[in-house]
Amino acid sequence: MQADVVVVGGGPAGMAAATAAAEAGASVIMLDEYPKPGGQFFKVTGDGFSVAQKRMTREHARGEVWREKLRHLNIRVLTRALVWGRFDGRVMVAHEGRSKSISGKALVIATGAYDRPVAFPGWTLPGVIMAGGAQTLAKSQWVKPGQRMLLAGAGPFLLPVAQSLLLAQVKIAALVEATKPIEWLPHIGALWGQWPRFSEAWEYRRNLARDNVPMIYGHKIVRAIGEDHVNGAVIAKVDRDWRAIPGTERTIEVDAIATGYGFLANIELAASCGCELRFDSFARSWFVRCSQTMATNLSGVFVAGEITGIGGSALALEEGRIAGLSAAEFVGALSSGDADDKRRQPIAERVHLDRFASALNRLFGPRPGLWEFLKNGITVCRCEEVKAAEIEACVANGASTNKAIKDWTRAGMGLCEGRICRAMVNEIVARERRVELGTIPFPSVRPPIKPVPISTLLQVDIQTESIGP
Amino acid sequence: MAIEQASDDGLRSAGIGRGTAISIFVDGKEIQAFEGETVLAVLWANGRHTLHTTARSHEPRGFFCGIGVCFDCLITVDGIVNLRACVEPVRQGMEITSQRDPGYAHAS
Repeated sequence: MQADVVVVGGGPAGMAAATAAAEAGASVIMLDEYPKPGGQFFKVTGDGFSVAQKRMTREHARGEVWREKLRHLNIRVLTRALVWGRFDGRVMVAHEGRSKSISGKALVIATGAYDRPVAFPGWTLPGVIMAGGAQTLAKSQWVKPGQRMLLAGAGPFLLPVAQSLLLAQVKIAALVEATKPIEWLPHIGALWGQWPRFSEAWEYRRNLARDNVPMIYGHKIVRAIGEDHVNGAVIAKVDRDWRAIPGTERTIEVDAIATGYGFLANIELAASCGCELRFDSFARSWFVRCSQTMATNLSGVFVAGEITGIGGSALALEEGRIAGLSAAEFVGALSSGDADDKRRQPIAERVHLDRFASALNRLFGPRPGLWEFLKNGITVCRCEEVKAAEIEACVANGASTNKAIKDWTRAGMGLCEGRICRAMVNEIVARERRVELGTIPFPSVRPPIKPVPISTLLQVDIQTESIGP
Repeated sequence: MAIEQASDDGLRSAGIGRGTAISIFVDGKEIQAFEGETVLAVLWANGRHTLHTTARSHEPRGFFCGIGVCFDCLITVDGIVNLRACVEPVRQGMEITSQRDPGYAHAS
């Protein structure tokens, strides 16, 4: 299969990129891992469900508008399509049990982000989940992760998660936020003028108040209690570095705990293609480096959305639009002059929204105390069940990279390919070696970037089929 | 064989219209599901929260990321091991095996 522009990822950034490129006259094919485009933010209820309008969030309707645009523009969308690598400009995708080769003149990577995993005692118990998964189960399947839940994390993303859980009739025992409102004050300057963001947050906050959801500030989750399922959560007051203050613990009876301490970007595909990365010291994680036209260091490869920096859906939509226009320009569907004209407004908007995103990252980004449980017998790598002590011992023996730890302990060698443990392994390495986290390189990523059955890898379709404009 | 009722422990939200009722088999037991649901949704709603147990310390694991990243919600479907319950749609008559310890050994 081939098209002028191949877009990987069907979230807000990918949909905006595909739309902008198609509107400019380029033929576009979009590849997405889920049953329907929308990503995590515009995630829809599955087919067959019927839900009263009053229980739908506004994202349902907004996502539908975007999906309609894709249909209207005849954008070919391959769903349940897992992109596992790129060779000689061809994107390889596992789809319906076969590997298909998709070639395009330009590639837009918009693979999004997932919740940042944070280990604490009991975090591997069934019922301890991450906020995005809690929201997905509630809003796309209308199944409650628990009857009575605790939400713990930092930042405004917990508000829409709480909203989705309430709409699914989950009782929220408490929403536990690591920062305190007084810490937000110094950032008011950067947040000034971002009124749509404020009104959104205010609306969520008001809904939580109406449902009497207790907000507990300056606390974090320190333990999940239970034998084979969560039956309680212990929270504690934290200091400014988010270290638990001894003696302030209290237990809350819940049957599920969802954590939301920010996000990690899905940069594996971009990294495996050879895109240059950058380390963000506030988010304490890696992103893809790009120009203001969303171009990477690779000719014809553009990026958009969370993989360029955590910024939320509004920013992702602008970046997607810019990337789509740049891709259309690259394939010759737009003249440089027209592309510059059309990019001007979204680029200005991006600068404005980025100021807000940076302030949020500074304010709610992880602080050192979040990693205080990464010691002794706590599991760090869930797949291979590697404990913090094994990783510390490995560092004491001279290991200084993620790769070395993986070779010696198997941490990161399981089916998630390090997506869950990698950031925490690196926090341990940085702490034990007393180096800056950003000096520990992001490990090499090689295809297949996600587990694909051998049978799928062997069934390769390389025939070319043109996609009309 | 009795079909487990969908609303056994009330984790399915009330007042939501669901797809056509179908039957799936979990460790040989017939369970009611609805088209459009994921395997995770059905197992979770039926109180089956230990989706697999781990190879080294035999710990119970449920789902963790819920969006296809963590590979903790592993199940065997019609003999194919290590599939993610959170992204696997239900189909009439599908046979799910819970993975215990090294899942691949159990399923073979």
